[in-house]
Amino acid sequence: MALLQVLSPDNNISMVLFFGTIGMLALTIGLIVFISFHQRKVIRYQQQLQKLEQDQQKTLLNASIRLQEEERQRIAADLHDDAGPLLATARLYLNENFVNLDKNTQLQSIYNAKQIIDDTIQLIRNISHSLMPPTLKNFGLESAVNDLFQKISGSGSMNASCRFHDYRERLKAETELIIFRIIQELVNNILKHSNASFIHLTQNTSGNKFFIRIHHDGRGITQTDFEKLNKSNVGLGLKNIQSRLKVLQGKIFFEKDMSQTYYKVTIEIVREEERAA
Amino acid sequence: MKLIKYIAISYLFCITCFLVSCLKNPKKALWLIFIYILCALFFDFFHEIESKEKNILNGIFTICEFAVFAYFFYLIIDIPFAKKIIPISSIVILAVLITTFIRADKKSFDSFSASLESVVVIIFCLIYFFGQISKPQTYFIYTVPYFWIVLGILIYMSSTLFLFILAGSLSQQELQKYWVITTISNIISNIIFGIGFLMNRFTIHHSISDQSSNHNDILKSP
Repeated sequence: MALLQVLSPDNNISMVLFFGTIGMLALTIGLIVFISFHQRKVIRYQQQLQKLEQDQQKTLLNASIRLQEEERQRIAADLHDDAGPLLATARLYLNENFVNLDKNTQLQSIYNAKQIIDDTIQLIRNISHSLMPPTLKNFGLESAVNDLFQKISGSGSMNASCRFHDYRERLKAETELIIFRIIQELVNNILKHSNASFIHLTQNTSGNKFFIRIHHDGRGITQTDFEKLNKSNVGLGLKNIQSRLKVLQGKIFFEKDMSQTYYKVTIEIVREEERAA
Repeated sequence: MKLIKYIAISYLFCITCFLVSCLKNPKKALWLIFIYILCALFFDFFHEIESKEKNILNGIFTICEFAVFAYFFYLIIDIPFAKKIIPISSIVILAVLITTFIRADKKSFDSFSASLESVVVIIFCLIYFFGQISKPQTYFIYTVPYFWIVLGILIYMSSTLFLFILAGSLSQQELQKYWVITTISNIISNIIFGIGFLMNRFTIHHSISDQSSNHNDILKSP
């Protein structure tokens, strides 16, 4: 009865009331439906982003494991191909002493064996230093990087120099090691791929941030190339750099210098006390 | 009389849902709504039996209802800006409602207070929904009990808004005739409140930030 009276055309207030109420209800239902659909869309998008992040982390982890295996294989090869035969030869020389009783020949064999053992000791020392440079542990990042660059310059392949402007206080040992590995990886890439004639490293501090910049005049990559390589299956070293930087909550930028003649790599790391737990 | 039966059933459903779902896991905001439902039941009962002082009862109920809803929204909305605005605006509106009630003619329905309350509560509901859709979360909004409570409030307020606005232009008999809109929206909102109370029992939430922190543990060392 009430509904029929509401719908009576003579009753203007009734019409306003009826349509107003229906309109408000329709708006309310429309709003709720919109909110539900919008939220489903947002949640689906967030889940996709999460999945992409998971895939990226999986890729970085795989790259890290592959690199570790490659390094182990290299060490194994160095020991097997170089140290092994040297020690075997030294043993041969020493064995000869049991057979040959002539004193001069014996002395000569012992001398030869000693030379070979000295070479083997040097080889093992080199392998050990490449695994964990003692300069880094004892004297810090600046000395280790200086050492590395001096060795590169000494080899004659290119002119390598570095300058630390503000490194009065050493970072934590683990942090120095990670940064050193990143610099090693970048320098190896430059040596292998860029055909550069010089490489220069500078270190600065600005506020709570620690900066390392590497300039070279060879073929380099830009930030776009870096991101593409990171997403692909190649670029193992770059993925390793990325995963190490993630631990330090750091960033890396690849770009061409303003003068368009040099390539520049900038590493930005937040100092330990400012890093979130 | 049939509607009285249905409204009584809706109140019973609502109260039962609360007792079943919320006693073990009490939340302040849900307790507030439960108290509001009991007050609404009390006022509806007296509204039916007492015909002379209906307008006084309506006026008091409007003030109490607004105070409860304002506090409820203050508890559940977590937008920092709104957390400051809601108490200030609520105090102002309450002062207006009380002043209007004291000065109003008790012989007719106080249309201004009721419509003002409806508009402000609808705005609070919209602020709540805005806050929910702008928050990053991985659970659906309708799994949250407060969504249903706010939906019930919104449906009740939006259905009765036009009635309250036009109440001043209607005679007592006409108002009595159209009061069925309030009754029906009351029944619907009670059912929705009941669903909201039941959601409190059957829902587990987790935020997107909790999930992503697990993935950061994958790469701890180079």
